[in-house]
Amino acid sequence: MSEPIISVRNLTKRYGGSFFSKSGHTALNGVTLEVGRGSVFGLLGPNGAGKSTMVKVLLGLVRGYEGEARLFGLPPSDPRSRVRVGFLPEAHRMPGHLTGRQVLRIFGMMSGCTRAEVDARVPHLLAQVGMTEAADKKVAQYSKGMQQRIGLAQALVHEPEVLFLDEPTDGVDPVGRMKIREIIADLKARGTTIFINSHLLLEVELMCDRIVIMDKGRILREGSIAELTPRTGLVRFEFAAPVDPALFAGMGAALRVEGLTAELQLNDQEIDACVDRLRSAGVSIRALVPRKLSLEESFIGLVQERKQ
Amino acid sequence: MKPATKALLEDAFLQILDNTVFRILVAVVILMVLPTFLVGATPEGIDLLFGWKVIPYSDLMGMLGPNAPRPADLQIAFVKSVQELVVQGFAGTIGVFFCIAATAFFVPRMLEKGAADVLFSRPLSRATLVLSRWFAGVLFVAVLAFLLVGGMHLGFLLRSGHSDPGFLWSALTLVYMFAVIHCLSTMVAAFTRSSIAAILLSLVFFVFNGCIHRGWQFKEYATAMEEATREEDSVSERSPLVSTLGTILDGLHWVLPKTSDADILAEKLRTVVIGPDHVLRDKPTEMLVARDYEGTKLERSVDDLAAQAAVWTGVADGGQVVARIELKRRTRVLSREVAKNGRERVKRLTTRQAADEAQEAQGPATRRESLQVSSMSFELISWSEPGAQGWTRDRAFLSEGDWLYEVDVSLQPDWIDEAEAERRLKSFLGGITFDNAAVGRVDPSTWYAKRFGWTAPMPFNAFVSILTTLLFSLTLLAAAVWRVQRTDL
Repeated sequence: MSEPIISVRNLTKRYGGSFFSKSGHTALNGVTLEVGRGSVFGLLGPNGAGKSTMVKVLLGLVRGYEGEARLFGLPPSDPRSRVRVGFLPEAHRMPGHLTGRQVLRIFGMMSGCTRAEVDARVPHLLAQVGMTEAADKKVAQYSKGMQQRIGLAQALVHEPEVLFLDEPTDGVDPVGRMKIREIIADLKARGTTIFINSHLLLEVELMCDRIVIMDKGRILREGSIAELTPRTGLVRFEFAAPVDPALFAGMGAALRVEGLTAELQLNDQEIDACVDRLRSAGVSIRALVPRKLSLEESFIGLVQERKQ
Repeated sequence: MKPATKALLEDAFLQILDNTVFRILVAVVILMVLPTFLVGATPEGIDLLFGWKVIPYSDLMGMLGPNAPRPADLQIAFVKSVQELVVQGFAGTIGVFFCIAATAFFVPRMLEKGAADVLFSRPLSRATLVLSRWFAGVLFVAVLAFLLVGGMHLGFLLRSGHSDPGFLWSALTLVYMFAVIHCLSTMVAAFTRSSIAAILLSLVFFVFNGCIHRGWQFKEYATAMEEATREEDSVSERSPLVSTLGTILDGLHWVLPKTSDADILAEKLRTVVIGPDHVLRDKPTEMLVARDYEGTKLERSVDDLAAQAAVWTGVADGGQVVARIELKRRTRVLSREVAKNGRERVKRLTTRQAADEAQEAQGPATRRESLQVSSMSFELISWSEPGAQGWTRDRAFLSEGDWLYEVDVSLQPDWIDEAEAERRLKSFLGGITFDNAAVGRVDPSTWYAKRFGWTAPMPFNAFVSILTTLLFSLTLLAAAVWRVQRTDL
């Protein structure tokens, strides 16, 4: 891996626990993580897992942590570390006194872009998030979905190299979600590193190429989508007409035949043999799908395993 | 200017433009400025709605009695009283309350969850963001203050022909006063994240701070009065409680911002801009003459009336002298002797005795009276010089401390009539004041204002007032920044 853009070592953050109140909780407990350039990184975990806290530590929003956190090689307390960073927080609230267009202009300039640069980018960005028509309305008049879109646009207006998205599709309709996925794919193609926090595991599966699963302030598992969603060995057949279950005799295990489908446990060699037998018996095969563990199953399995 | 700074300024400006209270206050300011364009104080009188009705000053002077100033003074007095009423009376009190209430939410809203995440994730320091919100509040008031003061100045200039560039300082005074209070509001908001707490504590502080400084002024005044009246060998004794309270007042006075000095500062700066508000100052006794005797001019500048009399002369169109006014000072101490108890006894000439002496020298007077003009007591004698064209003469005597002042007026009889001569004399005498503002003569606030100055001793020094106020304000802002920097969002 080239020099990591994000580097976290033994990061621990405790809340509360003052002289007057001994109770407190540990949001991050010795987290170590490195993220390279150009990847779409999914951060998964149940509520209170420490996902948002980790992002906030990296952005300098939360202080008083132990361990080391670096963004572009700089500590989060250094405002320069955030020059090339975009952030869409969960449940964000844009200033109600600004219009959508003004939000983009002002936040873009706050990130160091000149007015001319921002003005050149804004029309395209508004079109990308589908907010051109509502751009000159006050943010206070926006629906939740519109606020989410303009929030995403403000995170992109200064063309960041790293983008943190906390529940980016929250409150957005299906068409809007698709647009957001397209934007993320486009950014990924351009080499932007994207960090996504989401509860929508299907979306994470669709958008991310690396995943970290966290719980109670610790990293439970880290890997690519393929590593986190391994094949289960089950193979599902779909047929043009009902088949005789006797055709599967002596092949694989856990056979289940229902109507036009059949499911059984097969290894790669057995799949070829099974297909040959069915075709020689004149069976018309419409589909053959090796079943993988879904990200959701993998995630729930890991979290439950930890609880036990 | 950096793009980020431009963005923060634009954000501040858009935030105040969007503020409902700001819009209401702009409307109120316009309503206050509008009359200065519709009502003019012209030399003829009060002009309503561009000549629709003119109320002559003679009508108003009738209401004000025999001591009414001349029309030109009344015109200026009208303009100044309106300016003071609006700027100090309204904007300086109720206006500040409204502005505190309207701007107190700037910091708490910035720190709200959701809003803070977006803003604080930008490459800007938290100190910059806190200071930008403080600046937004100051900008809020600055726009209103300059609209009010600038608008009134323009209105009076266009309709009344009166321009007082020094009045424009009032806008800066309002901004200065608010900026200090807004520091406290910002600090409270940073610690509590509550607009209500910021409003209430700022208002309480505004009132409390004013009380502390008024109390301190009163204490200083009482101390000065006690010293002035105390016998040399006597020792003043104070109860421990009074001494402790005095020490506490001293401490608070030094630490707290001196917002109540703002008006005095404006007046001092105003003097710097438009020059002194008098035509003559007798430096040894700090006696001031506000204006020339109407129709005459001061021949030369005089700063010691005991060494040289000040002379005003009036010249008619033909070039002949028609009026001569002389003002001089001499001691009125007749003798000093030490009494048996060791105290010095001073025998002084009274104004009555001085008038008697003058009357004896001049012969019978046509008029003799004690004249009270603007809290000053003059002894006046009037007579006419012998001959058909004998000049009319007035001599007015005034005493102050060990000094006797004498105003000698000589008028050519055909120049002005008797009633006008009397009015001009009273107007001239009414312009005589003493700047020493000795204790007992003026109220504590005026006494303090007179002592206050750029070169005054420490407790009354304008630079000390400004510096301690700035120090207090910077401490509050530093505390606000410190708190926000330690806030987890």
